[in-house]
Amino acid sequence: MISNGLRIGTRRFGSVAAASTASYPSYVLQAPETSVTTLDGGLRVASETTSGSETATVGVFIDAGSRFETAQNNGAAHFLEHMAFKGTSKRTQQQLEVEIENMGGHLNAYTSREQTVYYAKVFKKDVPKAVEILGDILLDSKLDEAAIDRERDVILREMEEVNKNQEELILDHLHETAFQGTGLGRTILGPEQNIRSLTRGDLKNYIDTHYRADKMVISGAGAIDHGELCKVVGDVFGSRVASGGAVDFPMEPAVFTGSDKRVRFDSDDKAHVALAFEGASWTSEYAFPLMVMQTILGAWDRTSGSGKNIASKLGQEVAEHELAHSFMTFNNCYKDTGLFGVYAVAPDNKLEDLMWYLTSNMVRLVHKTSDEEVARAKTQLKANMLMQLDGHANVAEDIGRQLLTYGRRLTMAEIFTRIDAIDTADVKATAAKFINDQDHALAAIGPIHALPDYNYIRRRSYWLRY
Amino acid sequence: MKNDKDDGDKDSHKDSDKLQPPETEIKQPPITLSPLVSIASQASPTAAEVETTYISGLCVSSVEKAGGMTSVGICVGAGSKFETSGLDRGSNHAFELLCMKDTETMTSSDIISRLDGLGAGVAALSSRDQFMITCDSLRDNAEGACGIMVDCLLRGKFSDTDLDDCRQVMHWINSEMGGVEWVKEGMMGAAFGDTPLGNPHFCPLEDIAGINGDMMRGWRDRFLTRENMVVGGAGIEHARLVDMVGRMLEEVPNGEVPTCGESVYTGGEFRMVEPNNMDGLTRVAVGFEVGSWHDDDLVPTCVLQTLLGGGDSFSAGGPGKGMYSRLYREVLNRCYWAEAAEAYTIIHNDGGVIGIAGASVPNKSQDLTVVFLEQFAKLTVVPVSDEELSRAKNMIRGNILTQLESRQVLSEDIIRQMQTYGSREHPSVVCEKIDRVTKEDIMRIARRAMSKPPSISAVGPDLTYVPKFEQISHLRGASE
Repeated sequence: MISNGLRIGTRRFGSVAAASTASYPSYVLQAPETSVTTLDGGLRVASETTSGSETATVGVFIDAGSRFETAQNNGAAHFLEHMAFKGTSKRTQQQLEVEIENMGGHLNAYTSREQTVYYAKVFKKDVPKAVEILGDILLDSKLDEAAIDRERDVILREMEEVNKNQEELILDHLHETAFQGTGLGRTILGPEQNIRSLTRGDLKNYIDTHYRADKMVISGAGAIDHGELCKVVGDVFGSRVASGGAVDFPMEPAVFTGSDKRVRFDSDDKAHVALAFEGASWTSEYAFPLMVMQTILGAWDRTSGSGKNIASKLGQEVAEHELAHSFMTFNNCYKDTGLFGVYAVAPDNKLEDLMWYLTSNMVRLVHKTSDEEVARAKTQLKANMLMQLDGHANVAEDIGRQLLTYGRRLTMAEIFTRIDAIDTADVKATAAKFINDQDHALAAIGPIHALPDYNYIRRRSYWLRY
Repeated sequence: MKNDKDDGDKDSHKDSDKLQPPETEIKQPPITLSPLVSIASQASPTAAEVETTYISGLCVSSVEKAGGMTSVGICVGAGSKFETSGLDRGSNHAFELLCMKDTETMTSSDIISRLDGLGAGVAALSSRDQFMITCDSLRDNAEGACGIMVDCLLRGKFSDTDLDDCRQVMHWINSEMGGVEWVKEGMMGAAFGDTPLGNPHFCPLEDIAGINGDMMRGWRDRFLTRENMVVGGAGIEHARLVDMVGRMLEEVPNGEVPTCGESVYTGGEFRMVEPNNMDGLTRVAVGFEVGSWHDDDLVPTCVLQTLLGGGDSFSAGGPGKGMYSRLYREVLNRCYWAEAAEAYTIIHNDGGVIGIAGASVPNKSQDLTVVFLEQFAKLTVVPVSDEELSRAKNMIRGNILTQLESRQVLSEDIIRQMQTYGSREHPSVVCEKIDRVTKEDIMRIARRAMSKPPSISAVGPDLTYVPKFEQISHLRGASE
């Protein structure tokens, strides 16, 4: 590591940008275009049209989620998402529900750590109505005190369900320890105490701070006429959503802390373990190489039928030595950081071997990544990325998320160019930066009495030379 | 204490002891507001129509669809309704499970690594009267992926090891199947008794040992004929698909379309005690006869299912999931003990069932069954309201069209319709048929359904409170 300072950063970006787009087949170049319009006040409207379609998805993507909250109002973004469906000054809860159901549409919402999303799936002719309804529930939610009180129990009940889902629970624990003391370490639902005590004022305040024109994207896919969409959005949102820009809400920077959180229940039958290194932000030059690494490490499930016949070396070893019931590699990106790691479900007596093979396969990427596995992973990654765009709701989601994270939508040609540009040396370089001799964060739940301690795993984040 | 250098957990190593990592510089820039590559012009492709070609009796049907992925599938007119106990019971399910195993030309691990390298995936699914194998791949690699799919279908090796694995998996599936799956599996046996549609689909435990390689090869000889198969796809030029599969399936012979006996709805019961189920709930389904895929009342039957709707008492999701459907308003919102109540249809080429499936604590099973039967009886007497009929029509139209946005669903829809009808109905035609459904249609279907005894299927830790078939077999709705 000492030689780091001596290296001169020869930027070789030119070679990538020079890659000729002519080498791509026509379907890559002639993919449907994403139209983007910024309205007065900063509200962005982005859409992709599928000709001949009779249905569309329209969504509002807001650059706000649980990480922008404070310890006092943690849970507000999610609470607000619930309240949006409880009536406006124009519609009661029941009127809203009946209206959507009668028109054969769907209305839903979700909150993540960095984004809040409301979307509607409707017929072509109902797109203007969908925009009107989305505007109504977002900008004119009644936030009735009695309804807020009723909703507390619903959210606490949802919390029980979330906590039953070990995968979600372990990712909460992982964020809590990896980003301890910062906004990104808080949960989306917030602590029970906040769910019981958040007031109408807290929610109102959250809207005023975050639901601003410059932090919102209206995204559409399917049977959409971009011009008409812009007009309707202008009519519905234009004068009602506060234009921003004056004071940007300060985001608490994420600070990664190498640490672990262990919740031991020796009587459970399966241990859940997530091991992660600090990853890259959405826009980092390492974002795509990390996706390739994620694909190389892969995922495996005992019930998937592939058995030991899996391309991933980690998968082969886990299958061969029966180290786990399942594992998956994750690569979560945020505005200024990320989490790259593996989540495994395993029997208690295999945990030490599992961690040995897991770390050794991750560090192997630094030194021994092969050309063959990089080539295979690149093709797989392209397929996975395209596969996710099946259906208007998925496309609208992709547009909204990219507009918020990248500020634009990457063309398929750019995605292919970025993936094609990655070679084995890039993967090794990325692994060297993010894994080699780095602190890790770990969360574990269940019968974890035999899970190695922090130093055992930390020691295995690099190899020795003999 | 081990003195191995590798276990020196106490102190971190000196940097000079560590294997030096490579440089951390990479060749691409961060993602900024300016695009990395510029494209002269992007043109949105226009919508295409489904095209069909017959290659010496083999139907190939596909539609072009914008995007970088291709879906191709093959549907075979085969299923558990053709099986005979003691002869080939379980062969359809076994063939599905053996699909990705060794073939004459590739080992199973070859198949998986080649598919990965092509950005492709292959999946197989058997049912009572159709067997489907599909592949999705990057558009450029459709040919390679399709070749592997065809190899899996035509040239399985059925080695002893693979057959052993398959039998083990069948045992495992049998033990892992939950109440929801068993209730559905049992319903067909209850409804169609000993006739072909009443055959079990999941191989019964006592028949698993009989699964062998000859049975699998026999399956191929019997069902894989040009007349009994349909190839289809979405996201591919038709001419390219025709050319590809023409070559790949050249060896498939012409032949008769296999037949089986007539399926007759009898009504009956299925009961399975499941002592240690996870949630302690008993699952009950009632079912009635409806027409097949070829029945004139198919569309109104599906509208009726949507109108009844329902779901789980704690299901997630916002408006649009059917929260104002009958079963939500009249069952889930009123009966605190109803944990689930959802209308279903199971429709095949020679018969079908419509019904309601749900769950409750065991001592409320009788109430749940009675409520379900009452819901049907009511449909035979009281016309549905204009509002709920219109809501159901919009909802089913929305669901169909939203589903068909997906390339995979579109491909499968084309293939299954070609296999079932020999032609494909455009979604707009289906939507027109939905428009024409009247409240009289709904009542007629309900009355026809209730003109024969109901079927009942129940799975749970305690079935004491589930009515016996003899107790409900006399029930009939109002008649015309």
